[in-house]
Amino acid sequence: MKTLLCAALLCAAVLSSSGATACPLCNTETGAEVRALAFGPGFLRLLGVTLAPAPILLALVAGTGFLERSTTTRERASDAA
Amino acid sequence: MPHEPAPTPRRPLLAAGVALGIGLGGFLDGIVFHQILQLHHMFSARIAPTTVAQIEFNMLWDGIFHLFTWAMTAAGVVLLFEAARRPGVPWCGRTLLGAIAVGWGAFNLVEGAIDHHLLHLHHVVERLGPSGWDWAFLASGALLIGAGIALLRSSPASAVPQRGDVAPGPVASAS
Repeated sequence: MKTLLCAALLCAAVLSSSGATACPLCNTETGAEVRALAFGPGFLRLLGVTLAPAPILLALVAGTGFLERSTTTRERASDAA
Repeated sequence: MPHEPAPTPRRPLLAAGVALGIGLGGFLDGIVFHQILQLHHMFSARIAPTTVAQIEFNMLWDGIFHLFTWAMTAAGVVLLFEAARRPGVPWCGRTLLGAIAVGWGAFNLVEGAIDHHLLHLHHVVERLGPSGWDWAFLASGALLIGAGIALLRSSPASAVPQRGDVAPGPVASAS
């Protein structure tokens, strides 16, 4: 709880800093053009294709048991013998 | 007597290493190819970074990609911490390095296959379009996975007692 509170305070401090208000994407003509390109109707499609490799890579982390078995078979077999 | 499946004491360390490998491999790709060499950006094959707005658009999506690699690295650190707290996990640098290599190689293979070859979001050297560099990127992934598996096969599968280890058992009093 204390950690969450610290993280929330840190985020608030960062977002209210002078660096954040200097955001070049926020108030400029170019920024408006970028926002229109990035956050237009195709946003979810862009997000989906950007993160397309993620499910496979996450499945690999979850499936490390397979890696464990495939790299220790011989040792286990010799242990059993 | 029924034969119980063998325990998998290395698995927490493998999961941590693979997550770290994916995250750090992604960071290396982003930092070296996207930022330092600027060979490509996330959507540079779709929206060429030729105007300031188009460069900023690509930078924004490079940032989303980096957010994913940051999350994977953070997950790897948490998993590594959990592995360190578990009794019986063989604390072996070779195992961790092998798992990191497997994760990094998997990142190159999966990201390369999906982004470079299937979806054509970008190519390794964008000015060349689809090129041998895309295949070299995939090959680097396969090599890293091979090297990682070789390291894992040569590292201990069970714990070697270390100084300060506590034998696992039912007594877990915190007092």
